[in-house]
Amino acid sequence: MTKKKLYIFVFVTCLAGCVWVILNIFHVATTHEGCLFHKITHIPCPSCGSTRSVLLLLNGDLSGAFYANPFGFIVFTALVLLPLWLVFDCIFRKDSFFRFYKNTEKALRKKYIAIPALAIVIINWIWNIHKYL
Amino acid sequence: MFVMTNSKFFESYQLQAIRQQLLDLPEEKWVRVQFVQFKDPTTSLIVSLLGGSLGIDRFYIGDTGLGVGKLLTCGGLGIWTIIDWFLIMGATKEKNLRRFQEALI
Repeated sequence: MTKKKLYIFVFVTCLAGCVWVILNIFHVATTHEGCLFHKITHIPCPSCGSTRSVLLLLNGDLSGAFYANPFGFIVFTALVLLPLWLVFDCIFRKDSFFRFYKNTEKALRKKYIAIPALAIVIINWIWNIHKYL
Repeated sequence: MFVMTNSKFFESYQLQAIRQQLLDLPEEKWVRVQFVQFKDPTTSLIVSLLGGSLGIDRFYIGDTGLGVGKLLTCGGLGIWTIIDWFLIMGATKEKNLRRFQEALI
């Protein structure tokens, strides 16, 4: 993927994410509806509850956010950090995010990183299912 | 011969260029090309239909970064999941072409 394509994609995704969070703040969108996987299988996916988690983080409730979904922390950080990073790169004509993305992809392909990461995802998924029952 | 057995891995308009590159290829590179693992677009479509929300389709074709993004966002709130049902076969073929060309270098 080219640098330009990646940056546009990440920017648009972050924008959509922020819009989604804002819509949820004003209760325009209800909870439990964002997940296609949940709709079809009636089992929550590993990221179910991350919107609620982000909203709780905006209110400063860290433990509540962790309970809703720990991945919310990652999503929140990404929504805040990535747009700033992209703007920084564009202003100073650097490609630091692009290099970070490529290096992270390479790192994730290594078994000693991929397997623990997968284990964390699965544990969080099981916890999610347990919470929703 | 290679083109005939591997045509399903690539877009049809790419096959002519692939054929030409293979004809121009020196012998020692040919072995490397034969060892390249391609991903079947039909398999990735099935993976996308079954587990698209979890990003497994993107992980399957090697798009680790996008896979993580998809996983963290519940398949982009379902929207990305549906979009990828249509995009994944094309994306698989593009990845295959990239792998093929990396073998030629």
